[in-house]
Amino acid sequence: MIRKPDIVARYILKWVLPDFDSYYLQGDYEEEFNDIYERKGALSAHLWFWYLVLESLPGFISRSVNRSLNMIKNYLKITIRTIFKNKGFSFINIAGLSLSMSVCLMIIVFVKHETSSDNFHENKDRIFRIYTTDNDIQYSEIKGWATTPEPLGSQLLADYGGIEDVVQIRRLWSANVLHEKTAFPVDGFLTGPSFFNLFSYNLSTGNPETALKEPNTIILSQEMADKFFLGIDPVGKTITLETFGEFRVTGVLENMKVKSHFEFDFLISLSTASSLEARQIFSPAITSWSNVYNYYTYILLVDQEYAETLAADLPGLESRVFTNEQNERLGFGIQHLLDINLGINLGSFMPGTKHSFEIIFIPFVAFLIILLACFNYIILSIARALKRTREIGLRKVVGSVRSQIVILFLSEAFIITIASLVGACLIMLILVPVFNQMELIVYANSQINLELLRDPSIYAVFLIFAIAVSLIAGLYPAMYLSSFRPVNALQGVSRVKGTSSFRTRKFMMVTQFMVSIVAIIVITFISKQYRYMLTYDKGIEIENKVNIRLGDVKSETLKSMVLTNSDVHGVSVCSNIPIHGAWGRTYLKNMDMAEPLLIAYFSADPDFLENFGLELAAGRNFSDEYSTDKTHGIILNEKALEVFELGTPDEALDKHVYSNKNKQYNIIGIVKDFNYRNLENPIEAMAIRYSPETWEYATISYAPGKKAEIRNYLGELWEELDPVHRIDCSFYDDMEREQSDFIQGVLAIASWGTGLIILIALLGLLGMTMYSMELRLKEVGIRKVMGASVQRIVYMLSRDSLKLIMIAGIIGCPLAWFISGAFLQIFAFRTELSFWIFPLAFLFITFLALMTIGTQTLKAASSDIVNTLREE
Amino acid sequence: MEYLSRQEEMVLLTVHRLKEESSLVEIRRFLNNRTDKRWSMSSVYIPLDRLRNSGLLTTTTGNPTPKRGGRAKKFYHLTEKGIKELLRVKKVQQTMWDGLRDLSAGSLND
Repeated sequence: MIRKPDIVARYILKWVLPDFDSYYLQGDYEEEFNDIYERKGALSAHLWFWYLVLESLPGFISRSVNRSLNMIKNYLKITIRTIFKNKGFSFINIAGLSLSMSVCLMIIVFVKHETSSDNFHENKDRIFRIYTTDNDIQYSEIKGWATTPEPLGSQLLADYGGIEDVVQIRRLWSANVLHEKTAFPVDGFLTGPSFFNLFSYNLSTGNPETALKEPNTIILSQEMADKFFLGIDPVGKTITLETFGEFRVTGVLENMKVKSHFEFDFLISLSTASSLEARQIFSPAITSWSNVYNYYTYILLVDQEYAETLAADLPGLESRVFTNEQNERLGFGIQHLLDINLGINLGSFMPGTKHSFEIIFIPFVAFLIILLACFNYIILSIARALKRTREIGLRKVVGSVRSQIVILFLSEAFIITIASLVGACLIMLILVPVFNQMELIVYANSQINLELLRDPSIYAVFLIFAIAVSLIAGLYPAMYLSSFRPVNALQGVSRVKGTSSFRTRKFMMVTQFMVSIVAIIVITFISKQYRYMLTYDKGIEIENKVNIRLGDVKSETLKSMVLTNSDVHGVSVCSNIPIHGAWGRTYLKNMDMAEPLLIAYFSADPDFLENFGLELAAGRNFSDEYSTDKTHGIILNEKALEVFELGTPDEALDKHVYSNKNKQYNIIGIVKDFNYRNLENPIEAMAIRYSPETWEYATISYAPGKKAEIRNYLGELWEELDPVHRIDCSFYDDMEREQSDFIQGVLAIASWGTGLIILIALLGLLGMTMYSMELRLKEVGIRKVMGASVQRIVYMLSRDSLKLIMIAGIIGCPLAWFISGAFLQIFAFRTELSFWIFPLAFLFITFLALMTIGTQTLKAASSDIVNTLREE
Repeated sequence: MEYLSRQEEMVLLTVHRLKEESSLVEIRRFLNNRTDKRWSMSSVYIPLDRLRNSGLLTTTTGNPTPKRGGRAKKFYHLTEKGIKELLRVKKVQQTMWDGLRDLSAGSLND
């Protein structure tokens, strides 16, 4: 009977024994084990074996730690010497890596900020949200609704013992605080007292248990309390919300600087909802099971594990509460509190929630930039280390194993990345304030919060990132350089020049320049498209115009008063703001169609066409002289004639179109096609009707250059017309500027990125040239002795790099063509992809590269022959 | 030339005595039986390895046995150099002992 010691002990023993005799010694130990087993039994044998193993461990560990400490000390020394010996290369590496790493650090801080959302809740592990899935949603990117039916809350609490508490939240849309006869827009929720059982918001004054119990009570944010009750205690006072009524303040929230997936200014007691329903401000049907758009349902579980049980039982719940028909369409899902922000994309989401798809592209960009910088490191360290072949050969001869050389080169990469990390942190501190002030960033609410840097855990992330970078950058050179055979390595560079590393290097340089060229071309096209959109003749005049939301003000009143101002050239009224606003839709069909078509629709007054400079192709404008215009008149655009097959504009006049309820409209005029929405969208069939009941905006044209006067004038005028509401006016040139600011913001960020990519590529090229000049200095000397001219030598030295850039261009141009083409597909009205941009981008890059190479090649070509030939 | 340590000397002698049977396990068993001391595996292996490195011993490989987990056995043999060294140690010892009275026979006071 043959017995074996424990596998663990055997494994440790194998690890501890010297490599040299390990095989025989393991045999000896097992033989002895078997002997003891036979003589004294299992226990003694195992005890003996384990004792043996454990006894040898301390010595072994201390020996190996000691050895590796010495090793690390040695590597560190060698690395620092190498860094200082090759100052140029080290600088290029550290500069390139710092720049690109700083961008990545910013992204890490940003993402960390977003993912830290909701971490402050004490019960965060046990809080879940129920959401509704909906098969009827047309948009594939939306996976469901963040909201649920209202009765779900009490149903959950009644059906499941594992649910400790439920809170439902309802958003109060378009609320305005009336304060000193002015309306201030605010955003908040209706919710119950259990809100505070789930979420760790604190009240600075007020009792969280009772504050949200009674109807018409409100809790204010600190900010709101300061705004409306400065210097006095708001508790017990009343605050008026327009249309919703008066609310008694029962508490003020502590101002906690925390990130949550929902943001609000106030909380109103949910018990208010029934009175609002009674007053018909809320529609009562909202509390039915089929209405899923209003109530957010959060649950607190007794135990986190219970979530699985609950998730498994949701289909059962669905069949209990929904009718069969509803159940085919609707279902429930459960998500953890911490998975809500940056989680799946749900409709009717909470204000303040970001979805993962909105930021998913950012890590890709970061990865691209860091990869290109790593390419630099790889290219340079292979090039540079070819000069170290003798060192590597000697190391191997005196007994280094391959893994030790790999570790040596990896530790070099690591030290360089750590140095770059420090540099990157400094660059980030400079970049972030600049970045945060960019309008686009402010607009997208994506500022980078540097307060996170006080949290030590972020540095751990930085460090992990740096280690990852050093692995990406250092692994290939380390593997390649440690693969040299000592015999060849000792004979010098010429014997180890592996073709594989040449190919890798070329591939990396080509990639860098290719990405640069693609980025330049794509950005050029974006800005070309942007300029195209600015100058495109939309067929509608929107210069020097301002839109005012009418609200309760009568359009006639406004019109007659505004027209008394001599700066005002015209006023028209419309249901929507053309180009920058939404547009209505209506169903229309011609006589022969069975199904009506959904087309764009505006309702306007007779001044609309003239005010916007729109031209009629045929027919006439609306007029009050014809009493039927308001009831049956319609103006179509040329596109609509095509769609409804009504022939030429003249032929179409006096023909009819029909609504989906077969109401007949007379075509009284045909307006020439114009862009009624922004240039991303094509011009489609559109109809204009003269129906005053849907008018919402007045558009006033004013004398050029009088914007400020008009703004003041309208402000004063509005005070008279509607003292309660604030004026809601939007100048077309403001909206245009906002849009162009956005595009310019995108362009600015993209240009910075491209600049960075080009800079990294050029740094790499510079390092590569420096290296090859060093190698070829003697060749240059000999060529000069033989009579070569400086130009000839510069050409010879630049040829290789130029060839690579050429290849980059050849691959990059079609790629850029493809990407730009795909980008321009977004726009219905797009600029041409012009060919001249391709050679231009290529020439630009070549020029930059030549400038970079030139500094080095010229130096080499004009160097003193006597010195170069004498070197050695 | 350095002298052998006591340990090395005893190991070397055991190898000599065990002839064809001189594997690590056998050497250790012999030493355990003949001396008062308990010899651990490593206290036998380390001198053996040292002696092999300095050329006093050579090794041959035996057949694998199931008892050893299917591994082969390593046997140690004296080399010429090893034999000379043993002889030299013996000679030195004898010269050192020569002419002294038998310790076990009388008291130290003589």
